[in-house]
Amino acid sequence: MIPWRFALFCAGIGLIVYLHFYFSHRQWRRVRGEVPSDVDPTYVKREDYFAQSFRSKVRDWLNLPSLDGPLGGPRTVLKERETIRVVPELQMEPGAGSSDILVVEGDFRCGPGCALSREIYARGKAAIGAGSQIQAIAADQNVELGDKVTVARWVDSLGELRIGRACVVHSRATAQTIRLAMDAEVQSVFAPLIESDPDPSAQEHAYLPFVVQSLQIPLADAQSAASWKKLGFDNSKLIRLDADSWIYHGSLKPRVPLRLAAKLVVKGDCVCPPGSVLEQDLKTTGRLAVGDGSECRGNLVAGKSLYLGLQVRFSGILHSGAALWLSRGVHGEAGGGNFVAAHAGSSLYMEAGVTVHGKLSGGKHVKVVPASYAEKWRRRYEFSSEKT
Amino acid sequence: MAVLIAIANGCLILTVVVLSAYAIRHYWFTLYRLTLRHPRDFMEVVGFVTPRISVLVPMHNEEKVAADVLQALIECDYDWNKLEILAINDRSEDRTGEIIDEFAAKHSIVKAIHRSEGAGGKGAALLEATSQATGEILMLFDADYFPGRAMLKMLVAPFCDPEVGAVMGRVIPHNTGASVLSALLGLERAAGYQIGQQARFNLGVTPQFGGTVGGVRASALRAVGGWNAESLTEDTDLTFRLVVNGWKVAYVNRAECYEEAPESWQVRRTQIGRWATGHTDCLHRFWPALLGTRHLSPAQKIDALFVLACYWTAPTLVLGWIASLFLFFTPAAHQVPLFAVALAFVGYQLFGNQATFFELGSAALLDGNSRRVYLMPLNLLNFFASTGAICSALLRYYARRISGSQGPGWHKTRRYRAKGNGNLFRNGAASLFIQGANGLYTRNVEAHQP
Repeated sequence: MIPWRFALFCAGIGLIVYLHFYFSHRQWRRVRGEVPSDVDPTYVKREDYFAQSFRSKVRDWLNLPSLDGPLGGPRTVLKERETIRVVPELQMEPGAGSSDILVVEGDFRCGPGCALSREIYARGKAAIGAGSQIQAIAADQNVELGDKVTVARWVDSLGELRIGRACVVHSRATAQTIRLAMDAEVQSVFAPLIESDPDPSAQEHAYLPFVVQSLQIPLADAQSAASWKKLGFDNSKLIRLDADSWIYHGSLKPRVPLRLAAKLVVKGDCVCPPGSVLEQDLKTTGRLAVGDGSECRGNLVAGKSLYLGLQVRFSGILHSGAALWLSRGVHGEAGGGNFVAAHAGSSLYMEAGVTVHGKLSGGKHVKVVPASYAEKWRRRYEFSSEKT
Repeated sequence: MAVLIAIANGCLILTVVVLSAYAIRHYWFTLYRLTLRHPRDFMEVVGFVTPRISVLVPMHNEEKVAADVLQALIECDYDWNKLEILAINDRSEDRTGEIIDEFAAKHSIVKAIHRSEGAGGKGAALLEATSQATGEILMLFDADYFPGRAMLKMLVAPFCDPEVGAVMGRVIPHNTGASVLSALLGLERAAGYQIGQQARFNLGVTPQFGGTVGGVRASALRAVGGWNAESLTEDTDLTFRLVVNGWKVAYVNRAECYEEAPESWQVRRTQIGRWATGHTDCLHRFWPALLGTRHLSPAQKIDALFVLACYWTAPTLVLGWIASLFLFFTPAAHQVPLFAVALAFVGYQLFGNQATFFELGSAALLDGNSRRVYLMPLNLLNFFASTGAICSALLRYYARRISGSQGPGWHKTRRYRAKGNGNLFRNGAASLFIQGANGLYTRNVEAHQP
């Protein structure tokens, strides 16, 4: 080994080791005394968080000096790179566009095909023409989105919000009342009252459950276990979790309505026949289907898809790992001024005539779909409307 | 000599197999987490699940932090009609008891529990408080933690699933700027929660319930026999008693809570020694039940064993180093073809421990703290210090098992808050809340200034 080559090798290695730790040490000196993460200890989760935050910012912006008008009248406010246009009332022509933040002191209307690339705040009513594209809108009174309107972010109304046919809201929609037309699509909706429009083409389905015999889980009489096995319930698969909870190992598809008197975890699929009464929480690792006219007083959690049949009533949480289906006439309402919530890991489909007091959300979207589309779901769960 | 070489080779192969298995697991988790589009969580139903809850805060000589945690809990956005806070004064010799009494006198939801007798330690304190709790869900916070206002709602949401027995939130050290060690522990915690816990939850294996920033279903706790006051890691003990009995543990990454990380190597040594001992003790007690239970799938069982045996990697690595050194200085061993491969792999683990570092770096990136990845070379210090502390703790543990002697008692981790050196307190404020002339605590605005 030639000495100078060895020395060069050592110097090279030394340099690598030095740099290895030099950059680390330099970084340590930079982060010393820094906050590790932007955790906001005062944060409170609100469904209308974005709209409230925007309203709060607008209040601050309106106190800034304006470029061209007195405080209280039409004016333009500049805030860094943002331009805020304040007007008493505004009616935009069809096909018009704006790239300013709009603050409308009265009503706001825009014709079809408008493109509004920044947020809008209206103190009065707001109506967005068909086929328009907007960023986000907050209004202190009713909001109406025409057919095929696209909202890039959120919509908030302190009154009623009507979302037209085939509208797409890519984030949250919040209001006191939300009405969704056919094919409307939203990421999540929250309101004391959410309704999908009735579908005149769908046959009215007046289901009156007439339950002769029902399966109560856990069994009130262990002696009858053998007879229940013929009806699709194997008591030997039932294992106690705690005083009030059970696990059922395997899929559960009883042939008579189910009356769930304790919390139940089904390791597989579960199909509750029409007229079932689920008094307690039910979870499945697979699919969960609840038949027509059933009543769900507990929470329903499904590892895969979750289906609620015609005119099912629920008063707890619905949570599915995949799709969630709310059939015609489903009604969700919790007592005592509380709200219900339904969340799908992918899509939440609702048919016409669904009423929910609370929140609906989907990892992909919440979408109103026609009754014809629903039939394939019903067949999948052996709940054809003809049968019932 | 041939026998010694064979033994050394055996040790080396064992090291390579064990470390490879853990390395693959680290990569699997990290890649899964990085490619995840829709995390499986209950965030969309937060605020809609509101059972009655009892918050348990065990405290032993916590006068520096007691008021902070109690005030933060009182300010939480949760219906007071469904909330009680059980502040447990566990044989404190400082002002902890007085502070708790002050809060109990002023706020109806705070109940003071004073312990002056019985076994010491967090497990024993929890055992006593649980018997007085009335909530369906028991929430747990250590005294040095600082829950945000939305914390309780976020943690309680997964309990809408009747299979969930326990829920764990995310822990973030607030004092990462205080010392090199706390900065490194910030990285380690980020990897553990942002990657490890979240990936385990999404993959359907078991996230670990950490005994703080979390909750447990009271009926599930009763069904599995309550807290184990004898265990050094009562949280790990409970996690595995729940899962072998059919319950699931959920993880909520968004439920972020500040904690104090150890700032000195000695405190860290004690802490990780306790964890290693408690964890390994759980491994010995639970492995037969884990393998035998019908509630877990084979993948869940394997991962559970990986979790419980994780502290074995340190002595295994040391064994590999010793075997490598022995074989390196034994000319006859150079004829073994496996040696070169094994040495390369162990060297890779030693000087890079790339799988773990990949996890640390990915967690920093996911958290938006990408600059912190530059700190990773310094993690060698933490790595060597932890390896030494774990080996030492496990040696003592096995020596005690063999001799049948009693284990060490539970030691509280030292608090630093009064020094005013944490990030939340960098303006010199000693506390998150200030006691006013009327005796009520108000939020210390200076401590929260960005």
